[in-house]
Order: sequence, then C-alpha cells, then structure tokens
Amino acid sequence: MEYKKVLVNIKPFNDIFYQRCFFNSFFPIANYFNISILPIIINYVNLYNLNKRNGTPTLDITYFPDKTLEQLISELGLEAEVKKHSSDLLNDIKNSIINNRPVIVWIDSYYEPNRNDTYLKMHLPHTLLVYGYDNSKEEFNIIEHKHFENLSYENMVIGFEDIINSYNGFIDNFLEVENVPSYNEYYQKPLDKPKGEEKQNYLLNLISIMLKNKERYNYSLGALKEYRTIFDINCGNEVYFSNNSEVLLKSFNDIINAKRAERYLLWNLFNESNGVIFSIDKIVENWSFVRATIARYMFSSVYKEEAFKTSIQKIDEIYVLESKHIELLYTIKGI
Amino acid sequence: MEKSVELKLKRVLSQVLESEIPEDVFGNCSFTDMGINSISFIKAIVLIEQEFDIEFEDDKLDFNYYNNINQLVSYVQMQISKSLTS
Repeated sequence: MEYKKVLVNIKPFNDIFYQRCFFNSFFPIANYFNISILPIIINYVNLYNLNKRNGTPTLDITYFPDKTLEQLISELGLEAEVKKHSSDLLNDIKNSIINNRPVIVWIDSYYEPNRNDTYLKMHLPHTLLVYGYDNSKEEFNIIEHKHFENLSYENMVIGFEDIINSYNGFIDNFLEVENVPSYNEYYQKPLDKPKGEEKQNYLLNLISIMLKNKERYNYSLGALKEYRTIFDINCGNEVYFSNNSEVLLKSFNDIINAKRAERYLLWNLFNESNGVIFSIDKIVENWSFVRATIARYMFSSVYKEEAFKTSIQKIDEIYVLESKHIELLYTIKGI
Repeated sequence: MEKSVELKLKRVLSQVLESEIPEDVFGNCSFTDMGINSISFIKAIVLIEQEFDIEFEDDKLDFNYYNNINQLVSYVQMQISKSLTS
C-alpha cells in the first residue's frame, strides 16, 4: 500500500447549501469527475408542505425526486460502491483512495475535533468527504465545514482515530434512524452515449419534471396560502411565537436554502436578466425578512408586533411571486 | 469612535462564535469566512443592540446586506449617531 496519497483537484463546494450535508459532500465529487450538478438539482422538485404533525403547523419544504439518487448518479456516469457498515474503515478508505475513488462517510459530529460548534457538545449526523490519507501523520484529507449550516467548507485533515470515533458514533447513534449506507465510494464509469447539448437537455428535463408535478405545484401554493392564514391568526399572540420560535426558524431556514438552490439552478440555466431570477431573488428576500423577525424575537424576547405584521405582507407577496414564478417557468418552452 | 465600535463588535462576534477571533481575521473578512451564519448573525445583532443601545432597522438584519465587518461597523456608527441626535 502506498504510504500517502491525495486525490488532487477536489475542491469544496460553497455556492449553496443543498438539502442536507450529504449533497455538499457529493457535489465536489461530481465536479472532480467533471459532471454537472444541475441534473441533480433538477431531479428534486422542492415544494411547500403544511406540516401539522407535531402540534405547531409549520411550512416545510419537501423534495420530490424524479429518479432515485442511485439511478441519477448512474445516469450521470458514476458508480457508487456502498456499505451499510464498514468493519474496517481505515483500510476501506485507503484502498478506495488508492483506486482514485473519493469516499463519503457518515459520522457523528460530536466526536469530530474539527467542529468547535459540536465537538463534545452536540450529537449530529453528518457527512465527510475523504480524498486522501497520510500514514506517517495518521490522518485523512477531508472536506468539511467549520460550523453547522455555514457555507465554510474547506480542505482539512482529521486523525485516523478521530474519524473512527466519529464513524462509530454514527453507527451507534444514527445508523438505524437514518437508514443510509454509512460508507460510500465513487468512481467514474465509461459513458454509454456521448453527451448532447447539455443546457438544452437540462431545460427539457426541467420542463418535463415540472409538468409531471403540476398537481403538486398547485398543492404547494395551497399550502403556502393556508400557512399565511395560520401566521396571520397567531400574529399578536406572543406566547405562540415564544413557544415555537425554534421550530419556525428551522422551517424558514430550510425554505430559504431550497429557494437559494432553485436560484442557483435557474441562474446557471438562464442569466441575470431573466424574469425567473428576479422573482426568486424577491422570494428569498421576503423569506429572509420573515426568518429575521422570528430570530430577532427568539434572541431578544422583545415582541415587535409591527415586524410580525410586515411579515404577513411579505408572505402575501411571496404567494403572488410564487404563482407568477411557476407560470413563468411553464413558459420556458417558448425559449 | 470607529476603533472602539470595532473592538466591541469583535467581542460580540467572538461571544456568538464561542471562540476568539484572530486579529488578522477582521475588517474586510466576510461573516461566512468567520463562521457566522444568518441565524448567528441575528443573535449578534441583538447583542450589539444591547451593547450600544441602538436599534437595527427590520430590513437590515440579513448579513448579505453587509459585505464585511467594516460595513457593519459603519452601520452601527450611523445608528449610534442617530440615537444621539434623536
């Protein structure tokens, strides 16, 4: 076995935070193999969903996949070799790197010293992208971020012992609940057919997936409208926001991340001057206002009713913008 | 005044990050590079409001509004001046 090996040109991805940490570990791999990430974002339609399960209704984002991740990855020209549980993590990773295969492992951030925010403080299922090893220093090269939900992914190192502890933490605390392969290595396979006009194909695929989900888009707008009413009814009820600020904040955060990902996709497919970019920017701006109102209240305990009333207006605007935005997207055909 | 505002902001941001911010990581540094996200930024704003007895405008709570610490320092100075003249 080679004493040291690092796969070159694996770069952190900090443009957007997509769905969950797994994708921010996967996107550098796609880029490493010169594969566009746009088909992945196109594959998942993100829609509003009124979640009434846990007492406090929240407006969540649900991602509806057109194809399974495995199918999608395969169509993009990648193969994944996965294990539910690796019983020899160090050697599995090293052998994979020797064969030019980057690896994604699931860990529990509680045991990861690179993370000031979670190390020995908070148990959190998380992924690391591993792209090199050094036997003399007993460490792996990884891509990781410094803080929870922060786009500060960078190239770092982690000790052999620390990655084993973090990995075992995931196996013990999360494997059953998460139900994902905890060990994933990726390599490129020969493409069956030459790539066509990519951008045009992406557009056609986007339209096709949107049309398939037309009913769901209507449902999504309905959920948004219903949520607006709930927010309005509770505006003025400080106790409601006091009891639920954390759960509300999480839902608005997820919405903003989803909308920013949509913006990233559309910006790559069109350009700044397109109407869909303008509408998605305004939607993000309005949700950011609503989220900031809740966050400010949560940290200060000062209830500024005016800001909450303005938030209702912002949600009203979002409803109009979303309706127009979807209409605009349906006219893409004409482009 | 600018230096004292900057020092106090640095203290607040270190408090939010729960780690000391190195001297060279300031001024033109972006909030993301420092490890601040949009939520921890609002936590910092609330502490800044208490520290300087000022109020941020509702539409100035997003860290994308400020490119770096220097711009936040300028905004805080502006709000301090406003509160002194009102």
